[in-house]
Amino acid sequence: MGLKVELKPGERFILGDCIVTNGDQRTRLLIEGQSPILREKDIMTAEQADSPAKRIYFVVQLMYTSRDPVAHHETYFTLMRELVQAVPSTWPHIEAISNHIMAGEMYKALKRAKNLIAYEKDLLDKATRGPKLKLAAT
Amino acid sequence: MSDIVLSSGVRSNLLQLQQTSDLITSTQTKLATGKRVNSALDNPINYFTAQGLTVRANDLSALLDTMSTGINTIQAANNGITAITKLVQSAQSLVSQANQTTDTTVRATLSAQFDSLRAQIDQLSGDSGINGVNLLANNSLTITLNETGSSNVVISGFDDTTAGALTLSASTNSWASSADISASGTELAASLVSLRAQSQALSSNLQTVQIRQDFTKAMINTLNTGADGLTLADSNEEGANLLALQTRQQLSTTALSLASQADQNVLKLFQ
Repeated sequence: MGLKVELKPGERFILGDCIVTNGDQRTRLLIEGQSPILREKDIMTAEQADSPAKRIYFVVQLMYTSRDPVAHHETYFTLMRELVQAVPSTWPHIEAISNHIMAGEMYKALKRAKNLIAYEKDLLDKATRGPKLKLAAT
Repeated sequence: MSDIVLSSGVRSNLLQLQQTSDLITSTQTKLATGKRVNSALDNPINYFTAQGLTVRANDLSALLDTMSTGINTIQAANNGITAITKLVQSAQSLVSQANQTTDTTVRATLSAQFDSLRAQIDQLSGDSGINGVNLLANNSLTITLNETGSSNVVISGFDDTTAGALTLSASTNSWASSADISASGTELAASLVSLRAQSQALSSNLQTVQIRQDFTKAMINTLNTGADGLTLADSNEEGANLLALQTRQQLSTTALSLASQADQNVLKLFQ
């Protein structure tokens, strides 16, 4: 059972070591095999990875698309240790991501990393909004 | 005197630092006024999560033990294969010696030596196990790789006896005819090929388990540091910490190293 991918005109995605760019019409592809596949909407560039959780997503993405995932483990652990020390409540997310990485389920790890980004956004929103609300109350 | 021009990146960093210090001040005020829930009793969720982390660390340690035993078992089997390979190679030299002579008594002596090597091979494959698991006696080994047990590596063993996967028959007719000798020679060559394939399969499995072992060790370390901090957590404080970390990472080498790692990757094509 392969993976069905539907592409808009000009949409790109990563297939193994390559980037596939769609032509000027809609395309439906059926892909079978073991190569990593990542759709354009799931791809994060180095520039976009500008927060602790996004960096973790980015490094998991590097592992997923790399021929030698182990090379990125050290960076992953540095990032995850920094995050857990600053925000211990992220642990359940980190744990789920790590478990998927250990099981070699990199795509699932990426999905969990997306949840982590959402959780981080909540916290950051609260942190930046918090003081202003309090000022308004006094 | 010229003005100092700040780039927008630096300016946003400074802004974040200012906001962060504002937050820290407000947290400190809360602490000073004693309004913040502070003890484990006041914050049972975090308290028990922290306890959960310690339990998790223990679970992972148990996992690590299984992996270590597994690695030892694979290594024992691999050592067995190396030793058996040497015996097969000695048997091959007996065959070539027998081919160089027509004297049937010499050939008979050589074939007797060949048969005793066969017996040694069987003994070796029987002795290549640890803790009752012997991969060369067709036992299989299951190593659990994550806590939920949803991921594991099953390493299937081989029947490395002369009557099993190695298919080495005893010498026939005391190697009186050349056909008898070459029959043994062909079997030896075939068994070397299968030994090599087995050894490759084992070392690739070994590598997989070793990578997971390193990963698990690093996770245990992180768990232990996480558990210490968790009882102190409060969502405002965490938010402030997060902002501070974000700023710190932007100024640290992590961002640089990530960018350089990305350059080696297919992602660099994706700009």
